[in-house]
Amino acid sequence: MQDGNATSAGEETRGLVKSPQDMFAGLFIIAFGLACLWASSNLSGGRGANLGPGSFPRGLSFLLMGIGGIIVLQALTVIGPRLEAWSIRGPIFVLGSVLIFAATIRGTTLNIPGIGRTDLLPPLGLIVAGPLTLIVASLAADERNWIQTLIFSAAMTAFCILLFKVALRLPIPVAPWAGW
Amino acid sequence: MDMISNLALGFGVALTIKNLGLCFLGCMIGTLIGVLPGVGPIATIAMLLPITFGLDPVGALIMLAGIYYGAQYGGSTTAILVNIPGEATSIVTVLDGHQMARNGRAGAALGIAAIGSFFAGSVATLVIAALAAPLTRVALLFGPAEYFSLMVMGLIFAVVLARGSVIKAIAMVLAGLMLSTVGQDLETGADRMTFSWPELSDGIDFTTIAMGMFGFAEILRNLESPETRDVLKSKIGSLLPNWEEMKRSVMPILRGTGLGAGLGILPGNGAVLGPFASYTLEKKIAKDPSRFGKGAIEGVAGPESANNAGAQTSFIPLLTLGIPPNAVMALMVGAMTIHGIVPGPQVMEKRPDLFWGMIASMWIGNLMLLIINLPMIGIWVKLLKVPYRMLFPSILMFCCIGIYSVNNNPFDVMITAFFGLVGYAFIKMGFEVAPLLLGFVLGKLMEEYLRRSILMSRGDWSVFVDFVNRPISAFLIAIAVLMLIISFLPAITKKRDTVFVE
Repeated sequence: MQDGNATSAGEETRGLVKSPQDMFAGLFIIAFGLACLWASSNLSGGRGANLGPGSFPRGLSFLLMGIGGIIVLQALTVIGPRLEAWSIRGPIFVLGSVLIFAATIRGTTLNIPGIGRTDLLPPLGLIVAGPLTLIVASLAADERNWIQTLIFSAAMTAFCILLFKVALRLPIPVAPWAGW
Repeated sequence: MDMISNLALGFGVALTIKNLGLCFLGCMIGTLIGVLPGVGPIATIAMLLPITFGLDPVGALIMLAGIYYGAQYGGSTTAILVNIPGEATSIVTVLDGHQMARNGRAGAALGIAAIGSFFAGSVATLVIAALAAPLTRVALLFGPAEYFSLMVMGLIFAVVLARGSVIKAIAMVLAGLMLSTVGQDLETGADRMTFSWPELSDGIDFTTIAMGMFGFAEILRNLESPETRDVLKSKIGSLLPNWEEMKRSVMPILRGTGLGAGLGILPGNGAVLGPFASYTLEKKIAKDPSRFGKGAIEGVAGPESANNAGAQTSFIPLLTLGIPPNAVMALMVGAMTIHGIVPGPQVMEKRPDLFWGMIASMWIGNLMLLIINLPMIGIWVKLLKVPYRMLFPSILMFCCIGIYSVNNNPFDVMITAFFGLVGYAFIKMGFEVAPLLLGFVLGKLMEEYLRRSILMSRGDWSVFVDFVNRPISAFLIAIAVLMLIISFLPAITKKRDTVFVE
């Protein structure tokens, strides 16, 4: 039932936890179930034949915790893969570039209690968000070639503007400060 | 004949210049993106969804169907020319297809894949046209309890057919169902698990989950393993298989079409089994099984036909019952909903132009793929050489623009980044995310049907397994339970592993 290196790991002896990956997965599912149970605790469960808004989520929470429990038990009995190492650079630059796109495309306004709405970033549009996203994303790769990256991000942004704004007419801001 | 007149109506819709153009465009860009290594059909469709937003529903669906076939086709091209299967269904094509390419028969492998797919697609179109009306009538007999049970069965099928651990797949389905409950409750209007964020009260958009967990997480995974892209260096050669190869391929194409079309109808991703079943069958009945894995053309012709036939007949559960059988069809539901169409038996009655137009365009799309793919193969080969360090930022950019355009809301883009991280964590924990997406798409409907069934039965939970009054529902649940039990039998577990490893 396990994939990959499960069988090859068969000879070595392990401690209490036979499959660290499954252990982690099971605990995660249990935690997710608990969190959902807590998040839906304010919802009515309905009465009798009339199921309320809380019934389905709560039922699912219990099922999740049960399944999570089975996965944990499995992790204690069946030898399985170890936890893989997480890379740091990939997630930071890839997801970071996406967040930069979200923050710059139409600007960011924060609603801070007590102070009110504060403009964090002005709307910059695709013409700025595009190259920024592409350059930051490129940092996630092993190889780096700055000149190539710069030319590529300019060309790709131009292509996207032509495709999405000019040809497909999607209402995406390109250069809002210039009224486009 | 009803079927003939219906198809005539469909071709009338699909053969307008505009719809032909959209079909062509869909096939083109579907292939263009699908051919890129590391970009499977799910990511391709998710990425290209926004370009259909401005169209009318008929045009949009025709284009989407084109994108879907194009993505499938593109995946096969990648499988043959590069040693990378774009998705589960082209794993089998890699085995003999890439070997054929190494033996200097790349052209023949691509050619037979295209011919087999076209034949299979044509047959499958007829199957859909023939089965759609009767199945829709059956669907109208279904009450809430039957629908609920059918969805339970579909999800169980999807779990059993998913790669990896069954238990973990169940966990993913449940997580998907859970995510679908976020947002306003349809009946009472109560805000559910939104943590008072107004952005969440409309629920989570399915495109954010799909692109985050499939698109972004896939990129993160690809970045970790250093690229080993073994693009074919030698010439592709003539695209037409020689006489000997043609003769060898005829029967596998016929058998593959039958297998694929049959399995594709099953709710719960039966289509994924088609290529495996076909490959196993061809290897078993071959005079010399040792040729397989070394470039046997039967090992390309059969599975490729099965793949395409299944890809197409998996529209049947969606169009007739409104239940998507796999993650790609789940995306199609999302696309239809964006255009204000709720998939299900009522579509055929209320929008016959849309229904039959889409079916007719499936066949036209297959024909177009045959025409565009073969002469343009040189361009696809060039695309295969684009380095990943330029590819993935472009994919990210397209995804960002796409997600933003769904609601013109940057918040959706942030949510997608979050789901990208979650998807990456799931990969690290050994979870397969396709069942989650399916659970998510079915979740709202399932809950609604569950609540209605319980209301109608006055709180009696045995309504789903009541063999006397609700035989259909009880039968569906029985099949689901049976499938689940079988999947846990040790003998089957072992076989299942080898099927997916091979």
